[in-house]
Amino acid sequence: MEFAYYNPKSIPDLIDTLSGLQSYALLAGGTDLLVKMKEKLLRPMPQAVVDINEISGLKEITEKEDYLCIGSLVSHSAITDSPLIADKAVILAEAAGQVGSPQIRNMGTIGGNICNASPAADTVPALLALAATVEVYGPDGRQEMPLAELFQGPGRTCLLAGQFISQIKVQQIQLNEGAAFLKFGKRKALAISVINCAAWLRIGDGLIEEARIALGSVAPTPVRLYDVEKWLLGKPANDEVFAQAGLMAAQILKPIDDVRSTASYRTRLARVIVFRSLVTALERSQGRCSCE
Amino acid sequence: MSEYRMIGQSVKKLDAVAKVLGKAQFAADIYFDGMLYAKVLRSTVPHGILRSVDVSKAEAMPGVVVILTGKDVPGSNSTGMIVKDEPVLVKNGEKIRKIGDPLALIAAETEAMAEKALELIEADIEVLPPVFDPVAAMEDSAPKLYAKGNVLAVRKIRKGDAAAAFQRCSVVVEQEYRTQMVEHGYIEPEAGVAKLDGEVLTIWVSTQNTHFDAKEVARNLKVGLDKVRVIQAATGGGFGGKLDISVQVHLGLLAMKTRRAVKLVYSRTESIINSAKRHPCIIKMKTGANAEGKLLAMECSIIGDTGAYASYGPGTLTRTAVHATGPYEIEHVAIDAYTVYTNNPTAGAMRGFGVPQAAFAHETQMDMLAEKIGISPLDIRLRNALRAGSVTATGALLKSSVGIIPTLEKTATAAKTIMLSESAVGKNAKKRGIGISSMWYGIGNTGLPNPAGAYVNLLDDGTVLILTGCADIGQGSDTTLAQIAAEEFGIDMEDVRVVSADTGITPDAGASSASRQTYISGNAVQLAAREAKKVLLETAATMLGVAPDEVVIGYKELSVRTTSAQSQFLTDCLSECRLDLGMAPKGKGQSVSLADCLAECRAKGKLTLGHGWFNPDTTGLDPETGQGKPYATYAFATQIAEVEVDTESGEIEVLRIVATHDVGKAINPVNVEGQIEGGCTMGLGYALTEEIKVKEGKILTKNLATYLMPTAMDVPEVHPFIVEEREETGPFGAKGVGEPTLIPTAAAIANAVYDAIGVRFTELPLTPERVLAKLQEIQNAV
Amino acid sequence: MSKKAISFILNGQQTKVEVEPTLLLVDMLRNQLGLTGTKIGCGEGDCGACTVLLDGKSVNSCLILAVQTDGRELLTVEGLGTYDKLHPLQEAFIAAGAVQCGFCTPGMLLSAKSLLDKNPRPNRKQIARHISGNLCRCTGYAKIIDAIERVAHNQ
Repeated sequence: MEFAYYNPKSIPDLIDTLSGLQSYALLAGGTDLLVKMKEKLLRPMPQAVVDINEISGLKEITEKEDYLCIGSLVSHSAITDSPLIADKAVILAEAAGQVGSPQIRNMGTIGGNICNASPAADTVPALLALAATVEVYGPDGRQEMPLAELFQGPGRTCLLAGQFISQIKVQQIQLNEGAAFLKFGKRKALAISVINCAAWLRIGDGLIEEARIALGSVAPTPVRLYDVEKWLLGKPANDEVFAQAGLMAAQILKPIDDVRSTASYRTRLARVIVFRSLVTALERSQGRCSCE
Repeated sequence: MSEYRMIGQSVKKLDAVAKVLGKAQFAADIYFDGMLYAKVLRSTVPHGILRSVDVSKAEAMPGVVVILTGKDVPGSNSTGMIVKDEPVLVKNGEKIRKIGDPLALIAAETEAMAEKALELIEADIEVLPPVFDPVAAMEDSAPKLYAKGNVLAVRKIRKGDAAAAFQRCSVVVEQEYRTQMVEHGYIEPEAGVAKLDGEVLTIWVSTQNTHFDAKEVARNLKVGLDKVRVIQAATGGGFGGKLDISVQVHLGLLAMKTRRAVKLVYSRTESIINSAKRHPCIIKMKTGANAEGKLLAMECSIIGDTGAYASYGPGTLTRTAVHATGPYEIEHVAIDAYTVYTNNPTAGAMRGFGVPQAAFAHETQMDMLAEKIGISPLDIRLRNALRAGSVTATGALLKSSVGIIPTLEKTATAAKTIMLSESAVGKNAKKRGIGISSMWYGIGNTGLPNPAGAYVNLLDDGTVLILTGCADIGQGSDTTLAQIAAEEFGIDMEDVRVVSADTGITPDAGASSASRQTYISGNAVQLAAREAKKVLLETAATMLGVAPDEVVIGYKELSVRTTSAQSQFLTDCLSECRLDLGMAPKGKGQSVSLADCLAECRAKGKLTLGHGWFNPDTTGLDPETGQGKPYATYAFATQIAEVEVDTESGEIEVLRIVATHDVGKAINPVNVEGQIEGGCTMGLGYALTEEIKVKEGKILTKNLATYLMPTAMDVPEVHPFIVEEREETGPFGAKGVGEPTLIPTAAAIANAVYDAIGVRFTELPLTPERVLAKLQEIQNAV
Repeated sequence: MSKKAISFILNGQQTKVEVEPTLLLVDMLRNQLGLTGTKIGCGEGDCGACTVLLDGKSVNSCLILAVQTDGRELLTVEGLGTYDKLHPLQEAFIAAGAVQCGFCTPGMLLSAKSLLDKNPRPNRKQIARHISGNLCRCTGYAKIIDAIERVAHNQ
């Protein structure tokens, strides 16, 4: 591999560095970037690697009103170890805890998982189910946007040259709300999702007041099932309704065949994973349940 | 009280300290000053003729020292395990038969420079129509890889009259089974370093057989075998994948040409693309039994896709045929096994050598027959199991050491307490099931001579040096051989050093494959030790004033044998009296120390040096009937698996495996357990997640992200048990265990899945996709 | 690009080297510093043979640039024990029969150490999870988990 190397120490430094580069890649955890560079999968190969790991202020997890703010350089391990996230956004910890392996979780970051933009990314459905927004920095300043609008296709985000994600904001899970994250992979570790799903529910008087369902590995990007969510509104929160939701999901989605699995299998699993996620989300909204 | 001091003890492995310290030297760890780095240019086309190779641009690159092509091979430009059909470097005008065929070699000052230059070599290839389907390849109209056609070999086994016998069967089961291509997946990719010292070419390499490597190098480079020294570096796993030539000859060529040290290390992708794989097989099996469940007849045809080159193909398919009946008596058999060339990746030796494929078929057949007859899977196996006195499908009489029934009984008994055999239906529609599978495996090369030699030198101070060609690839053969010598001489493990797999020093012991080394090298070492021991015994006899056959070796001493319990009692009393009087327990005329005996040997001008070699007592197989005695001894095993199937997602989880293996004698029980646990895990992968996916001759699953081997979170509880049906011709009764541990596992899992969800699989791997598809079929049929 | 001077603590010793920014950590260890105990099994983070501890955490050194270790602390297998004083994990691996071909062993030991440093009494399931990024093709993991469990119980 050949590249020029930069390691800015602050956000202004970073913006400055990027403005002077024609072709670059940002290095966070390196667990996706370095693999892609070794396999020569990036075309064209970036001429510069900008190591952002030393930039201060991007590794914090803080509480702000009803939200949690997570720095983009927070590693998957830090997310699974965070008491704050375990308490208020548990599905994010569950999702981050299923990325790759311990070694990959120790280096890989949530910002990297997002920007790598794999449709199979594990943290993204959990983030989408928690209505995540991202803070984007760029030469034109700062803006906040819904995470759902970031993805454009496999490996592609809408970020322009010079832009980067500094922070992710998620809604805390409140008392009458419950969420679940499930992943099906071909083995129990070091597995890229065959399909993954995060579901979030707010229940009132046994009825669904609001729902969010996000899936990965079934489309060119991770997706929210807005139609199913809309259909769930006002319905009683029970197995029958959830089963119907699963059926709807299977009908809407058009996944593909790839080296990991087939479209037909993913469609079948979509029904199962949506159902199971909703059931667990409901259980959790009703108090503590014994989950691993 | 154990019969032996060392045999049957789980002593620490000789190489363990170096390995935990990270000090064991694997080939990629070797450095020399001025060492060059090699890269290989390989064909991306599966079938073609190489018109020319233009290296001019690459040669001009900085740091490139030499580029070699087919014309630069001084000796024979072909290599192979059985048939020399594989090119060292494809020559202009000659054939390319698979993706990965080597076209050029580069040696450069750094690895990066070699990689960069590689991209600038231009190969002009005339594409030929390829054939990828082995059935199609057998047709006369198919593109031919070789002038003589695509059917490389046919193994036939004929005994009795199967066609007639089927008439007498009350129950017949006929199925077609398909098994997938899998990869060895040793964690260490192929690697080697070569260096020319004067006229001796030394090659350090990750390998399972240094002597074969040296012979190929000598032949291809046209140098004397005495001038080639191949030394096995610490080898990070082989499993049959490091038998074929990988880096050895290429390194030799470059080292000879540049007169500098050269290193070649495969990337993981290069390793997956170029190393031989397990033969994917299509097995059509028809088995018939009478109403009581006694097997009467089997007809079987096996097509093995050996890919572009023979490698161990004919040997593998011979084994598949010989073992197709399973460990059962079947009087009438008609078996045909075809080794077929295609432009797919080469298939060769992989742990089990054709028998895992056969076992999947014969064990599924047994369960299907049992169900039709109305007896249990355990019962049908007990009724038909081979025993001492049985005759196999090749007409070989099994005189003794036939442990299949003990393994069946022990496994079944253990499973009763270990497994919770409820077909539970959980909240998420999970169903449990249990399945059984048995196997047999002939030890050593099938019907072929495969001797091993060893030297054992008992040194002046009572320590021992063993010189053996046997390559330790992690299975612990160095330790096993040391235990044998330590037992023979009555010394400690600390007193034994093993020098293994160095053709400049050690005699040929054949390959570490076919689960043969404990039996064959074990015998060689024992024979060598006994030859050295003879001198000791004779000298001690003179010192003690008795005949040599009255002398026995104890712990670092030689004593007069006590012939009865009474004389042993008297001897013990005498020792106690002596001890009470403050004397040494044994006096003059009763024993001499090993040290004193050795000193006496030397004083008389005698060296305690022994050599030994052993070749199993076998015959070849008749080409038309397959009749003969292919092995001197067989390993037997039974495994029971408990699975849980998620009927909504199709996922199969293996919860527990109980595995009992008849090894004759467990020289090192912990190491035998390690083989069982490792083999079951590899079998798990074979059953569920491993598949080399090939499209138009190209491997799609070319890295470890897509070729999925079990991680620590995927393994079930494995409960290993050992049965010891003593093999009279084996060292201390031992046979072998390395490959048997993998063979029955996939079948046990498949049978367990049937028990859980009533779905019969005749294809591996058992993926969730296939499970759901089958469950859907059943639902639709209802 | 010109070399960069970096300084880090390696196996307890302050170490200064000059490296190309493109140099991978595993290559610095093996080729520049002569520490070949860390192995390369796949180069892509899928096997764990290259595992080292960076500030006490297990990482795949094949996916880290050497320059990223500046100012940090590294532990390789060479820093775990010596011929004269083996680390308890090394002794346990030997005693339990957990070493077959030995290629995964350095990475396994370091993953195990990072686990026990954080959680001195893990159960078998936790152990399996913590070594799930270290592939072994020989042992089936059973005796490796036995060895780690043994050390945990003795602590």
